[in-house]
Amino acid sequence: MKQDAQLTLKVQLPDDETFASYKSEANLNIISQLKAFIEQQQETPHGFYLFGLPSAGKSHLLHASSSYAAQSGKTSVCLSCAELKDLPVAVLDGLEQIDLICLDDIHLIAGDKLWEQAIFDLYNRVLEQNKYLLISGNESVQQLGISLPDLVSRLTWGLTEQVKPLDDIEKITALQHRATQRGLSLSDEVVKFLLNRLSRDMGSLTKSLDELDKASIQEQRKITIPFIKEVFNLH
Amino acid sequence: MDHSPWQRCLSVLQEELPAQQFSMWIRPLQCVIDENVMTLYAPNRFVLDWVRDKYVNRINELLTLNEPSNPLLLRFDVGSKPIIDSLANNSVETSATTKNTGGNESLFSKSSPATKNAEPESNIPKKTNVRLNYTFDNFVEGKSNQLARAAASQVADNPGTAYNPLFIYGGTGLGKTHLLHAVGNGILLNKPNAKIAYMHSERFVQDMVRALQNNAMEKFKQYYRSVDALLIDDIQFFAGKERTQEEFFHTFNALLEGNQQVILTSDRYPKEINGVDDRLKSRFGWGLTLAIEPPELETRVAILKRKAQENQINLADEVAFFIAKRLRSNVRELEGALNRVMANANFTGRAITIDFVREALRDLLALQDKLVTIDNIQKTVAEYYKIKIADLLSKRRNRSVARPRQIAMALSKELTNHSLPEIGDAFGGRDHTTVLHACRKVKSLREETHDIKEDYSNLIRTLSS
Repeated sequence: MKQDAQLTLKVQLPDDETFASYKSEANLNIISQLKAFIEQQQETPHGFYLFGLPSAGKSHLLHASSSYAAQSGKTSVCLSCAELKDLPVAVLDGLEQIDLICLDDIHLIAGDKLWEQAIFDLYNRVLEQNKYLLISGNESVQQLGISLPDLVSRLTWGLTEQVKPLDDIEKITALQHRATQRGLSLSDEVVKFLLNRLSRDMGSLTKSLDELDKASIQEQRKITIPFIKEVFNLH
Repeated sequence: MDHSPWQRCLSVLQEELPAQQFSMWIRPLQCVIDENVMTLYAPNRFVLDWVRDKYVNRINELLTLNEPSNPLLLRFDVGSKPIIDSLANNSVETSATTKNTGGNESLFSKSSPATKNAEPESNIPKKTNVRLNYTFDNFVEGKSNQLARAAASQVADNPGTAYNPLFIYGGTGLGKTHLLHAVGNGILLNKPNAKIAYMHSERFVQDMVRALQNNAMEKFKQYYRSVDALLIDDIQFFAGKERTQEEFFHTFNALLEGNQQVILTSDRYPKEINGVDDRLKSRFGWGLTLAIEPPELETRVAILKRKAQENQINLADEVAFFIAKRLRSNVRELEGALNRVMANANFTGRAITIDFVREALRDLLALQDKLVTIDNIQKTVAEYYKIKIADLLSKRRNRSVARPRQIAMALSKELTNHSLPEIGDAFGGRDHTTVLHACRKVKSLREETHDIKEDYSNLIRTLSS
């Protein structure tokens, strides 16, 4: 399709990454805190740092925050350090005019002096302009390995919360929710099978779901346990 | 629901693009429609080029779909949408940088349509961007900072004459910025029309670069040399920026000659700043140079109590001491810790006790969950039950080995993300059904047997502390 040709990544059906679709009882407190942070209730600090194991749902929370900000009439942007680190630091210029800047996976630039400095400068500009920064990483600030102490100290200044990983029941719910968004129906039995036989972090499970989605379209078959065994070559 | 053409475009693009792309490139665009032209403002040149390169055709298609007979003309610009209401809540007025100019734009940039609409000729900065909430009154004094505070206070009372320049140095997060703003506020208190420029050193660099790019150096010089007080934070970031240092050197001299106050902060003593010209370093020391040290325990407690009080929270002494004894490095970290405690208490409705603080600050207090590996689980379980790791991996089935093995498997499922086949493999190449059986067995044993329940809890505690 003509319009697809100019996109950098292939178009896929988007996941509904909102607070409502974040299925984790253990992290409800974080969602409340994020909402208050975005709404700037009370004297809110200007920074919020979220950390947790890979696939704990941090990116989901950042996208949800960005989306929530947009719904509240605020401008927002969500940047991933995985993509940023291959771009010039000038991509951060002027972002302090945006009400909420979300920066995902900061651990990916830890130790990179240029990026550390650029994020530190952005933090100062955000503060100067009275705007807000939401940052995620896979470790607590002190363990990120950031070499610029000024950046470390600013990251510890605001709010910090640890995102707890989903338990198995929450993973089942989350996976079924994502499947429904793709127009698929996964029985409890099928999801439990996925959890018992494949990597159980949400990132891997979501990728597995993508593969199953594609395979089921290609082969015009429903997602059943025998079909999963075939796709992933399980015995 | 907003039915404007751009909102309709956004809805479609949000459906079509992966969330990451949409949030990164499309969401930050700001739209202004004027008659038949839709202008999309990007925060910077890079984003603008990227969007124009990747998405312009699709946006144009969507505009045509929306209004086939008379589609809007699309144009792009750097900056942000004009906002008529002006200034930040916390500042009296911005300095060299105006709020509506796309952030990296400044007084020294060419004006864009966005900035023209926002603030016409009166764009000349008048007062300051000093933050009103940093004053001497709420600066908690202790042995570590009392000299710096006293000198700063004198400067606020007698700017340009008391100590010029005043150079305050010390580690990050010790209150240097607070003192800079406090001086600014102090000067304004005595002379409300004073022109105070506070900025992080990076802002000075940026302003100068833009002035150079836009042939506005005269304007730049005029502005910086006309202030009553120039307060620059973290001057060490001038290191290696020779052109900036050169310009700052002249600005500095002009200000001192005019008896205008200069206050600088740095993370180290002037002579120790590498990459800064010697003649600048020597000038930094012409006035008064003072250090701020990390706060001692009593000051840390006082800072916590003051901050809590400002937030209408009653922080018990024992809790303040508990936090202050553990977090020693700097005030910013201390404030961050208290922010976390207060936010958690607010959202959970729980009282702020030592146990609550211990929980809320688990990672800061070095009690946070570590990344647990199967190897580590095997090692810990083997040590706990005083057996060998090899036994856990062996085929032996007697209970003294089988039970710890089952517990280790159950812990691996609970504390890691490994798949059951991977866990089985790690335990001597067992089948995933064996792992499943072990997990079920341990679950029921924990419900029935007190010892197993206690063992399991002890192991979890050991592994996650």
